[in-house]
Amino acid sequence: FYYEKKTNLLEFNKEAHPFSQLATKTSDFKITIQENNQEEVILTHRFILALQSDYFKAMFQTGMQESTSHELLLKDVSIQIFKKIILFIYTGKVELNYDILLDFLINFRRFLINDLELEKAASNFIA
Amino acid sequence: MSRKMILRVPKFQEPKRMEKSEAQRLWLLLKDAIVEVQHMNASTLSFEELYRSSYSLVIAKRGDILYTGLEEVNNHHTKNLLDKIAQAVDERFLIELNSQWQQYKLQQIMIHDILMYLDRMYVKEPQLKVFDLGMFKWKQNVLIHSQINDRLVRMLLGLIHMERNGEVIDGALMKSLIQMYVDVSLKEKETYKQEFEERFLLATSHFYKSESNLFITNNSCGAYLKKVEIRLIEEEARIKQYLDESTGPKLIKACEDELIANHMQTMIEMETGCRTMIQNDRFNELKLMYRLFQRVENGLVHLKNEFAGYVRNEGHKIVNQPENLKDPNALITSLIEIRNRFEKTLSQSFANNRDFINSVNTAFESFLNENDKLSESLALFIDKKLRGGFKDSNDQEIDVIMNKVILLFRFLSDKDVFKKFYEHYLAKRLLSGRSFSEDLERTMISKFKQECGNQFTSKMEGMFTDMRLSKDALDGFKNYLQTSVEMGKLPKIDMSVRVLTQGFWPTFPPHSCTLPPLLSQYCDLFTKYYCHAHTGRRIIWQTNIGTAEVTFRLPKKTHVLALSTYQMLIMLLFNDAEKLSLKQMAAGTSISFMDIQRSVKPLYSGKYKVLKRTPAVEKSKELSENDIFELNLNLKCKLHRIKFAATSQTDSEPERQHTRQRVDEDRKIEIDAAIVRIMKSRKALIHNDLIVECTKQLSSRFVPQTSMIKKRIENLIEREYLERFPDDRRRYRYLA
Repeated sequence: FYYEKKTNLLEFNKEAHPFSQLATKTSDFKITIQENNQEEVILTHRFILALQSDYFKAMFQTGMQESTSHELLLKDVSIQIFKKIILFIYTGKVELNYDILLDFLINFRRFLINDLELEKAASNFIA
Repeated sequence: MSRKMILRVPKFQEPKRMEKSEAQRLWLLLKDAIVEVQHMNASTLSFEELYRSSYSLVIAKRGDILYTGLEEVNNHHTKNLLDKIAQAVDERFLIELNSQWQQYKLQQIMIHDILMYLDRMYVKEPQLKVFDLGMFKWKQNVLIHSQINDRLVRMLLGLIHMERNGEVIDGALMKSLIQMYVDVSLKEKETYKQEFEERFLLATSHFYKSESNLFITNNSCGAYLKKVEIRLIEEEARIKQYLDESTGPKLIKACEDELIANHMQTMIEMETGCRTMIQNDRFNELKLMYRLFQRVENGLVHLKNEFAGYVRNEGHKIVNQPENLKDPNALITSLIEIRNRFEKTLSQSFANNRDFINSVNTAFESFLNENDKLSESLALFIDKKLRGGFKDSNDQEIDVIMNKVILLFRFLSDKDVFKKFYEHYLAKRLLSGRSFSEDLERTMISKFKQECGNQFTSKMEGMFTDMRLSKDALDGFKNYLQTSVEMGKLPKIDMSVRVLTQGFWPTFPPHSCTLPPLLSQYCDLFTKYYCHAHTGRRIIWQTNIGTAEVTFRLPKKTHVLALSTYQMLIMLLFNDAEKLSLKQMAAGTSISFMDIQRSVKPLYSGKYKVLKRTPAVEKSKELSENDIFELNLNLKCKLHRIKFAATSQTDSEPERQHTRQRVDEDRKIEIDAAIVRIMKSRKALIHNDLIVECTKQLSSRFVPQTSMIKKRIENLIEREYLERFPDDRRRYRYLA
C-alpha cells in the first residue's frame, strides 16, 4: 500500500507556523539574535532547519558546540530579516518590501538555503 | 557529501571593506580551529563563529587567504601523518594507516562544513573543492608516497592471496583500505584503477593460471568444474565484501579466462571430459559445464559442436549396423531410444538451448538420410505397430511413440518415398483386415496431416472412405442378390468385394487369372449391380490381392483353409486331378509362373503341408515348371482352420523396386510441375537459378537430384513448354 498526501505538509498545516503555540512547545533549538541592544529569542526545531538549510545541517552534524548545547547566538543578522528567514524555512512563503529584499537575499545565502526559484524571482523583481 | 551548485550568482552586494590585519586575524582564528579539528578536539569549537569568520572573509573578497592557507595546513598535516604511518611495522602498518585515514576523512568533512560558504561561493574550477583538496593532499603526501603505496598494495595482495588459500582475513580492514583508493580518486576512480586494480587483476590471473593448470592435471574434469564454480562464487563474494563494484566484471572476466576459456579444449578432450560425460549421461556434470562455458565467448559453440558430433556418430552407427539394416523394427526402436536419450540430455543439461536443439536436429537429418532405407523402415515400423504392436500400450504411450515417429519423419529428406511405402502398407493392412484399430490409423494420419498438410494425406483418407463405401456397396449387393431373379439358379457363396478408387490406392501390378465359373458369375452380377447404381464407372478386378476360405475334406477330418485367391484357384484344380505339375497349374489358372511359385510354396513347405511334392525332393527349394504336386491326404493338424500367408510379411525385392519406381515416376511429375510453375512466374531464367529454385520448392517433399531436374528440363523443351534462348544456351524461356 502506498499513499501520498497531495499538499506539502508545511503549506497545509496552520500549526506549521514557526511562532505557533505548538511550535514553541515542541522546540528543541533556541536561537538568540542580538542586534544593537535588542535581543530576541526564537524557538525552533533542528529537524526542520536542517531540512531546508545546509548551514544548519552542517552545524548539527559536525558535532561542535551548538549540536550539544541546543543554543545559537547570532550577532550579525537583523532580527526582522532573520524572522523572515525562519518563516520561509517553515512555510515556504515570504513577503518582503523592496527595502529589505536585498538584505533578505544576502542572508538567504549566508544560511545556505538553496532555492533557485526564489533567487530567480527576486532577481527579476529587482531588475 | 551533497554539493549543490548554484548556477548563476547575481551580485547583490558590494564587498565590504576589510583591513588586512582584520583578515589575518580571522584566518588565524580559523587556522587554530582547523588544527584543533586535526587533533580531534572539535566539540569545544563554535560552528557559528567559525562559519561567520570564513563567511566574512569570503564576502570581503579575502577567500584567497583562506584557500591557500588551507592548502598549506593540509600539506603540513599530511606530511606529519606520513612519518607516523611509515614507522609502523608489519601488521601495525595497515591498522595505523587505516585509523589515520578514517580520522582524516572525518576531519575533512568538518573542515568542509566550516568552510562551506567558501566552497560554494569562492572555489571555481580548476581549483579543487575543499573536501577534494583534502583528499588530494592525502593522496599526494601519503598514499602514493614511495614509502606507502608499494608496501600497501603488496600487503593487500598478499592478504587476498592468503584468503584464496583458505585463510581468514579482516574483510572490514580490506574494504576500508581499498575504498581509500577510490575516495582519493578525483574522477572516474583513476587512482584506484591505476594504483590498485591493475595490479590486483594481474595477480588474480597469475594465481588462477597456476592453480588451474595444476588442478586440472591432477583431477577429473567433473571435480575441476566444481572447483571452478566454487572459485567463481568466492570471487563474486569478494567483490561484494571489499572491492569496488566497478572491478566486478573485470575480475570475473579474468577468472573466466583463466579458469574456463583457457581450458575449454582440455575439458572437452580429456579422458574424464565432455565426451565421457555425454557417453555416460552425466547430466549434472554436463549441466555445470554448460553453465560455465556459457560465461565465456564461444564457449557454448565448442560444447555444442562436441555434442552434435557425438549425436551424429551414434546415429551413424545405428543406421549402419548390419542387424539394424535387416530389421527395420530394431532400427527405428533404437533411433527412438537415442532420440529420447539426447532429448533428456538437452533438457537436463543444456537448458533446451535453441542452438543445441537445432544442431542435434541437423545431426539427425544427416544420418537419417545417409541411406535410403529409412523411409521404408519407418513405414514398416508403423505398419507393425498398427498391425497390433500397440496392443499392450495405453493411449498416452501410443501418442508418445507416434510423436517420435513424426519427429523422425520430419528429418527425412525423401518424404515422398516414405509416403509411397506408407500408403502401400496401409492398403495392405486395410485390405487384409489386419489393421488393429481404425482410430489409431486415423490418429496417425492426422499427425501426418498436421505435419505436411492436406495433400500429403488425401489419398490415405480416400482409402478409408473407400473402405466405408465398399461396406455399403456390399450390403446393397447382398440385398440385391436376395431379390434378384437369377439368384435362384446359383449355389450360395459368401463373396465380399471392396471397391477401390483408382488413384487413392497404390497400383498393384495387374494380373489376370481364370476364375472358376461360379465365382466369375458372381463377379458379373456384382459388376452389373454396381455399374447400375453408379453409372459411368468401370470395374477392374484385382484378384491377386484377395483371400478365400476353402473347405478341405480329408478322409477322416475336415479343415477350413484360409488362402489367397491364387492359392484357392490352385487348390480347386485338385478337384479334377490327382497330380499336377506347376506348368499345368499355370495353364489351368492363367496365373504367371512366378505367382504360382510364390503361392505354392507355403502350401507344401510351411508347418502344415496340404500339398506334397512327388517325388519328394529333400531340401531342394528351387521349383521348376515340371515339378509335380499332389494333395497330402495324411495331413495331421489339430486346428480346424489353417491359415496360409500368401506372401511373406516384408515385401519381396521386386515389389520394393516397384514402389521405388513409382516414386520416381511421381517425382518426374512433381519436378515438371515445379519447373512449369517457376517458369510461368519468372518467364525467363538462367539454368542454375532454375535448379536452385526448383530444389527449394520441392525440399519439403524430397531432395531432387540435379541430373534428374536437367532431364526434366530437356523433356519439357521437347514438349515445347520451354525453349533455350538462341543467343544464350544457358537461359530458358517459358512458352505459354
